[in-house]
Amino acid sequence: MSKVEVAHPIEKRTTTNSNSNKVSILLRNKFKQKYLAMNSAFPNHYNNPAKKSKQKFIINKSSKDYFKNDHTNQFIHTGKRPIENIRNIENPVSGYPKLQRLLSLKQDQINKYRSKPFGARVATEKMVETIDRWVTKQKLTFDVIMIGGLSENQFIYPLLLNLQLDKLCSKPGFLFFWASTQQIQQLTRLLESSSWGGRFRRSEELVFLPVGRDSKYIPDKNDIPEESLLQQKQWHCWMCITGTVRRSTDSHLIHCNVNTDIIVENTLMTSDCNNIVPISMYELVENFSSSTRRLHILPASVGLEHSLKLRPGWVIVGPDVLVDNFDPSVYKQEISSIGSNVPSTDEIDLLRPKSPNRRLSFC
Amino acid sequence: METILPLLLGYGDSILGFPVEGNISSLFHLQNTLRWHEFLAGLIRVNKLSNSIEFDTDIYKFYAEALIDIEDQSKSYDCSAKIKNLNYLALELLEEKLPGLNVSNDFKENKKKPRKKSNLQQLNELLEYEPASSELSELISILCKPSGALRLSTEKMKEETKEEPTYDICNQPKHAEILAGTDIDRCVESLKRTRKSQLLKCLETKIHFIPIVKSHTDPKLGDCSYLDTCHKLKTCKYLHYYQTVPTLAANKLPSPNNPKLEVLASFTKGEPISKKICKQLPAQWINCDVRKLDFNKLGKFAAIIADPPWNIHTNSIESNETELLKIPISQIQDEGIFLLWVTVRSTSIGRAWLLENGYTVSSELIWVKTNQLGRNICTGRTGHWLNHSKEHLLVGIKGRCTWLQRGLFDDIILATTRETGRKPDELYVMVEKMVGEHARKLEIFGKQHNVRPGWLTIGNQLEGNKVVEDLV
Repeated sequence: MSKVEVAHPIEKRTTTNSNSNKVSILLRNKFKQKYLAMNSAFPNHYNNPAKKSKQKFIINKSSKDYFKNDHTNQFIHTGKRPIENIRNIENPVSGYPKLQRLLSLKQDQINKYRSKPFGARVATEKMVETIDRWVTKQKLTFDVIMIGGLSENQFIYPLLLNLQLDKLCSKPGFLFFWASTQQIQQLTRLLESSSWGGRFRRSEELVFLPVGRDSKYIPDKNDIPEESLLQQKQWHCWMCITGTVRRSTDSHLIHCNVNTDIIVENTLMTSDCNNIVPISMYELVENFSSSTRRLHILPASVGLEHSLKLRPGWVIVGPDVLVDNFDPSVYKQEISSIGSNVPSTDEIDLLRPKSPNRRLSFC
Repeated sequence: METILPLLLGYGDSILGFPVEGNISSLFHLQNTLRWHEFLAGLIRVNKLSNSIEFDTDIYKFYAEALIDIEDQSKSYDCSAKIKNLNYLALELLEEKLPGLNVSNDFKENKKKPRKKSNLQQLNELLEYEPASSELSELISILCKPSGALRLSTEKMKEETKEEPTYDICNQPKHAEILAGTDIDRCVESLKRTRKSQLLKCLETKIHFIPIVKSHTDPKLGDCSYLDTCHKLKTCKYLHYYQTVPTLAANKLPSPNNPKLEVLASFTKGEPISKKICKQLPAQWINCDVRKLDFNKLGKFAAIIADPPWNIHTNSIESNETELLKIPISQIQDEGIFLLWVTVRSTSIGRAWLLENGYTVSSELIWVKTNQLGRNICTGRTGHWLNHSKEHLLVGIKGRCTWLQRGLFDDIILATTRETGRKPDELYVMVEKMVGEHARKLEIFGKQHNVRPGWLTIGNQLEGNKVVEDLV
């Protein structure tokens, strides 16, 4: 890096462009005038033979230096939110055929080994009591437990304080807690407290990003914008692991690095439109853990704006569940018939990302 | 008749199942064109013609009652009669015999879909209906309206910021295919000659990424995980890209050394009165060991950014976290914002540290990393359990900070990745807008690429010192 880097970074970006003589910084109003003029005069200009020789675009042959859009600047001027510019909202893995194939193979396999959708309609105040009864009387355990959803109204904290989570969750087990930016602090403190600290290790922090101004998932709609420094447009989810699991040796339990720690709202997927937890989140969990015993607890009502749908392979517990068909003994029978883990196939094993440690050990 | 037959055929089996369960009054509510007595008359007529409906009681009794109570609407729908069985074949035959009947469109679609879909899908579809807007949601929307101050600030920010050109990226894979085939310049020439103006027009308005196909490239493998940041460009089998950028009016546009924008808003917040004559300070930096620097001599700052070398960066001296936490930040900030880059592991350490020093962590900013092609990174990155395609920045506020511009931005930055560990420059712009361009700003653990006009950068990887302010 040269010392000339002192220059304004935005200016720098354009000057390092390989065709720097052609690119120039555009002053706002002048640019706007010309831009508009150019736009309206475009067809004439294009047909004008005198101007024809002048190229109206430049080619950056090197793949190293290239022009980048400044989405923050764009937001200032047009109000278009940066997140709307992501190009792979519709298909997050576009451009990666191997990954696409892996994801579809995994979902096929998961669909083959899944229980039917179960729902248990349990009132908020009976939640702890009911789940404790499952644990103590029916000896029911789950490997994957998700708590809460994209709703502020979930009171996860008091539930967690009272629930015998370590008995409900088998080892190794995976927990997913949803929270807004405010709640995540409280939750983090709880997870670090002495009674929790050792048992559930915070392993990843997932973020869900709503797209679009009118998204149903925008958190804290009644927050006064001037009070917080930035407008809140995100949801957090702690992924915790209990027990021992190693990514290099336990591929029958987990497949790592298949998904990323970001979920962007898929505005084009209509079936996803208002579920309390986006479908892609369920998929992420299913892709990560091969367990077939999955539980989702929604401690309180999900409100009018969201709905709570059942999903095959999951037991969903909450006051707003439409179908109340859960019976622990029936569930145990079904799980024993399909097995507690989704088996992997040779092709999945070939395609899935492997941990680098493994390769090192071969050397 | 026109309504009843399609209704029965359209809903099919579901009429007899839950929740209608063949109940005639429920069935009545599934349509809204007929009145109760007309509805019953229709049912009776259909049954007369096709003999397809089996009722559990005498339907004529209800029809008679309905006729008596024609005027009294409220009484009507109490009907315990149920349909026990439906003969679909007879109904369909009847439909065929009545060519004038317009069953085809709405209800037929309805009829085909539900029979194929599973119960779960049907149930889920029901949940997707939007509730009517309530008073509560109206109230919320009123509360959510941005205040006048915020709107003014947004407008002012717009006026005072130079607009950078942004171009959409072409989403048509065909275009890239055409251009990738041959030498691009020749391709463009031939395009001009053949007047394939659509592609040419697209080139003039949108960014195109054109795959670089070399002898070692295998296009079937798809894109490289690292694209432009790939270290093995000469041997990497995956696809890499080069770019065409529209210049549009670039040839005619003024050069960068044009005079600054002279827009001065009459609305100010948190800015010096003499703003017009104030000149922005040049970039300043001090190469030092942050642990040993005397912070008392630096003065106070309105905004501080720190990108501490959490233990993952082992080659840096300042890697010890306990030492990092000893930095006396209370000496350099009485009131203002502190932005701390953290990792998943260090987020709680960072939070605790900010709280200890009198900050409240009000927001968390997420940098959503994109690649060369403007896509969110989904592969090939670090992360133990999942791939990491974002970074977290804790935003702490100390004091009342009435001068701070709040709510201007979302808590998301979308920017491409550059060198490892290098954070997006968009953050500086955001901070400058929030605290004002003339406020003193500090970056701790900065590198040479972090220095920037208006900012003081300190860290042990800087080249020499440059300090302009007398105070320091």
